[in-house]
This record gives sequence, C-alpha cells and structure tokens, in this order.
Amino acid sequence: MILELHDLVCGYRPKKPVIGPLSFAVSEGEVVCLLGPNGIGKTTLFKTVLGLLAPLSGSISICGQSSRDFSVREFARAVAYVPQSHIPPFPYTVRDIVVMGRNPNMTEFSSPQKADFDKADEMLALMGIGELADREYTEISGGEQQLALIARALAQETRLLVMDEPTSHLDYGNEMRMLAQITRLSRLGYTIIIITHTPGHAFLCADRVVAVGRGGFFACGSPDEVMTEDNLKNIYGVEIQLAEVVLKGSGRRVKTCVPAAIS
Amino acid sequence: MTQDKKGRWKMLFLLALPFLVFLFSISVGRYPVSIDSLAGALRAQISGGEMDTAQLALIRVRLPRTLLAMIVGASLSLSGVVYQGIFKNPVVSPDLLGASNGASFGAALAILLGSASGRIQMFAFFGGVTAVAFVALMNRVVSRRSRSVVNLVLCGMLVSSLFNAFLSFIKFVADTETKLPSITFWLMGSLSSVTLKDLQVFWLFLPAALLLLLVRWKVNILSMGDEEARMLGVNVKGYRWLIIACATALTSLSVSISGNIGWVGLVVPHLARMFVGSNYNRLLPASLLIGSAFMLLVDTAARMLMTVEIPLSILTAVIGAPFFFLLLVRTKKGFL
Repeated sequence: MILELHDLVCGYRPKKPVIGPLSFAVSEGEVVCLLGPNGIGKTTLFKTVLGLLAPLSGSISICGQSSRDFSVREFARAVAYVPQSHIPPFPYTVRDIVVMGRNPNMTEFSSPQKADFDKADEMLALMGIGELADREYTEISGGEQQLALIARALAQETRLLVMDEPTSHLDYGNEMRMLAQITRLSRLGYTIIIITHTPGHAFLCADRVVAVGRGGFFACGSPDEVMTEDNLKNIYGVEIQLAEVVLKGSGRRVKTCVPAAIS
Repeated sequence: MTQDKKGRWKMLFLLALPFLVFLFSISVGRYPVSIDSLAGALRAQISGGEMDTAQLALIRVRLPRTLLAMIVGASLSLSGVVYQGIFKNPVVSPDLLGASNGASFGAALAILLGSASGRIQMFAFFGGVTAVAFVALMNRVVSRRSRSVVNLVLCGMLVSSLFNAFLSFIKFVADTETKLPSITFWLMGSLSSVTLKDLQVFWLFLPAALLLLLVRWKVNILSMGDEEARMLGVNVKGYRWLIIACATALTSLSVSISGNIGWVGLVVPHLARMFVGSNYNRLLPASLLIGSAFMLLVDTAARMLMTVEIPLSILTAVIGAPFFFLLLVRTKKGFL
C-alpha cells in the first residue's frame, strides 16, 4: 500500500473535527478520485494527508511508514503535490519553475546543476510542452501552467502524485487532455490522487473513488460501486441520473452523469 | 544554449561595473587623483612608507568612503531583493520589518546622549536588530492562532511606527541648537564623516552576504508560497528566519554607517530584474553588484554636485521616484 489512512480525523481544533474518522488505502498504480461537496472538508483532509496540518487523531502511513517520521525533505521525495495553478509574484521561466521540483534531491545550500535542468526538460517534454521551457510562466495559458506544475511534480521523482483540482481553470478541450495525461501517467506507473468537482471524471479516469458527504457519508470503492444514483444524491444533494454511452469506433461503454432536473 | 551565453556576458558586465565606478569615483573630487597615485598611496600604506597630503587624503578619506558606499549599496539592495522574494511582493523594501526605523531611533538616542561616532553606530545597529527581534516575538504570539506571513508584515508595521514615534519624541526633546540639527542631518543619510576604521563593518557584511548568496536559489521556491515551498521539501520557517536575520544585519549595518537611505533597496532589485530576469540565482548577485555601483555613483554625485554635501536620501529619492514611475509605465501587465 502506497498510502494508508487509519481512523484519520482532521480539523483545525481538537474540539471541532472537520472530517473523519476515515480509513482507506491506495495501492500502487491506482488513480483515485476524491469527491465531495463544498465545505465538507476535502481541503482539510488533503492538507492533513500532505502533512500541512497535524491529524487530530488516527494515522497516515506512506509506503508502510508513518508520515510523522518523515522530514519535510523526505516527504517531498515520497509525495509530490500539484497545486492549482496560480500566478507567482515574479515572472520566472517555465524551466525555472519546473526545476524547483528537484529541490528535495538537492542539499541545503546548493543550486540546480545541469542534471537537474536536464531532468526538468525531460519532464516538460513528457508533458508535451518542451518548447515552452524558456517562456515566462506568467505568459503561458492556464492549461499549459497546469501541465508545467505536473512536470514539476514529476521532477520530484516520487511514485505518488497528489493533484488539487487539476482541471479547475481549464476549458473543455484542455480538461479532456488533462484527463488523458493523467491516464497516461498512471500507465507509466504513477499513483495519482485527484480532488475533483466533476463526478464524471471518476468514470473517465479513476480506478477507485473516495466519496465523502454530509452526515458522515463515506464510500470507497470502484467507480461503478460508489457512483450510484443514490450515492450521488447523498453527496451533492441533487438528482443525478447515470447514462451509459457506447463510444463510436472503440465500442467502449462509458458511464456519465446527467443532472435529472434543472428547473 | 544561446540564452545562457548571453546571461554570462551580462554577469561579466555587471561584475566589472562596480570596479569601473570605483575607479571613476576614486579619481574625481576636490583633489583629482590618477590611478597611478592611488597605487602609490596603497603601496605606501601597506609598506608603511611616507605619504604626501593628497595620498593621505586619498587613503584616509576617499578610499574608505568609496568602499563603504559600495558596502551600503550592496547591503540595502540585498536585503530589498530577498525581502521581495520571501514576502512575495515586488514593492517591499528593507525597512518592512522595522530595521531602518529601529536603527534610526538607536542613532538618534546615541546623539541625544552625546555619544561619539563609534557609539552612535553601535546604537544604530542594535536599534535595528532590536526592532526586528520585537517583530519576531510579536509574530510568535500572533501566530499561535493563525499562521500567515501577513502577520509578520503587520507586526513589522506596528513596530516600525512605534520606533518612529520614539524617534519623534527624541527629536522633540533634543536641543534645537546642537542635537536636533545633527540628528536631522544624520537621518538624511551621509557618508561624509566615515573613516578607515568604519571599514570594520565589512566583517559583518561578508558573512551575511555570503549566507544570502548560498540560499539564493531557495528564495525562488519561497516566493511560490509557504505551503507550496514546503511540499517542495523546503524548511520554510528555517530559511525565512535565516534570511530575515541576514537582511536585518545588513540593513542595520548600512543605517549605522550612512544613516537612513531610502529607495535603494526598492529600486535596485527591479533594475537588476530588468537586466538578468527574475531567477534569484542571477538576481541576487546582480542586485549586489548594481547596488554597490549605484550607491557609489549617488555618493560621488553627493560630494561633487554642489560645494556642500547633498544628503544621500534626497538624491536617492530624486533618482528613485522617477525610475519607479518609468517602471510602472513600462510594465506590460500591472505588477502587483
């Protein structure tokens, strides 16, 4: 198991837990979608898993080792985080941003060397934006920024990637391209955890869904198990119907979510 | 990579810049001197040989003044550029956490007490350090509830304005015939009374500047925000305090030598950014070099333009404000 949560309770104050207790495990190579309504504590859970917030109780283990035993640097060598893209205060080049991912593998007082820049270029090429390396990060599109942030996470050379709404600012085309990249990375052996607000993404790219809802609702399992009409109503509080579409060409069957009533 | 090559040429030019300005500045003045006579004076100083009056003036007055102008310029620019990085804001300057106001208060207090110049410098330096230490303590109390770099900035504003009030009080009670004018003149910034002995501050400047140079690349990561930096394996708190300590030492030492000089720590980093880009790997050495050359030019102007010395902060403001306006006009997209 690459990540295991054991009766984890998260929150900012001991008397006011936000979410939990939760237990689930993620095995190597899986793509896991984390679903839940606004304000349920997904971000709190995320921050706790990333070590930015101490758990109120329970434990997290990464590759079988309690996450409490990791130093900041060791943690960054085990888990890479892809934040939502934001504008940095200074116009760094894309390569400068991506090479930051090499930091966990460098010493305290060093600057990146040629090997680090090579790794950054390699990861940019892997994400299909190698030609943007010398451009200013602030000048490329939102979709390209998100890809650059993933390249930075890849440069950390971890097996586990944690992404915070990687499609949130993307247009429909870029959103689908992003999902395709995520599927591709999973085939390369990466384990990927994604927060998403679009339940349909789970059908498109997830091996497993972790869903949290109000009133302590919690479900974890394959998309088909978790993403039932009842559960979706429980999570989002609106009627959702599932439809199955047969794709032209491949003949593959894909489920999709359709809101039942917009009135 | 061609871009890399261009960058290297730029760095070479920037490296030569302070030396060129140094040679210019040392040879102009009330007694113009040639480079030869500088070499002769240096030889005499080292071997303990005889010097004529011009050579004495060169070694005892102009040389320390030139070198100290460079140290002050480099110090202010370095603190400014790292503060802009760790506070993620391009309009931050070295006085953000109260070091300048603390140091000014210290100096004014020492003048009020009738101290000699060595004592004034000591008071100024420790005034700056004390102010930032207060900020750190207050931040500890505030951060029990919420951890944010904004707290630190707000504590800095509080302490800054408090020390400013103390300073006003000292001016208010100071003797208007003798003490007040010297406090006022001191606060406007000047290098006219520095001596060879003041070059000792180099031993404080050197370790602080070296430490900042060593961690310069991490400032890139710190400017991305605390949580992101941490996820990239950076010990945010440790680096931030190390950088604040170095910047405080540099700001305080520069105020203790030359009084309060504004604008340099704000303008020079932007000048450097226009030359070498935003990456702190190049930006930090570039700021150091440009800052030292800039301050030296300003000080040379201060002693050359008129028959009396012009206070440095007047000149830096007259140069800095229009430059900043140009920067605002030039920037493609708003830079806040």
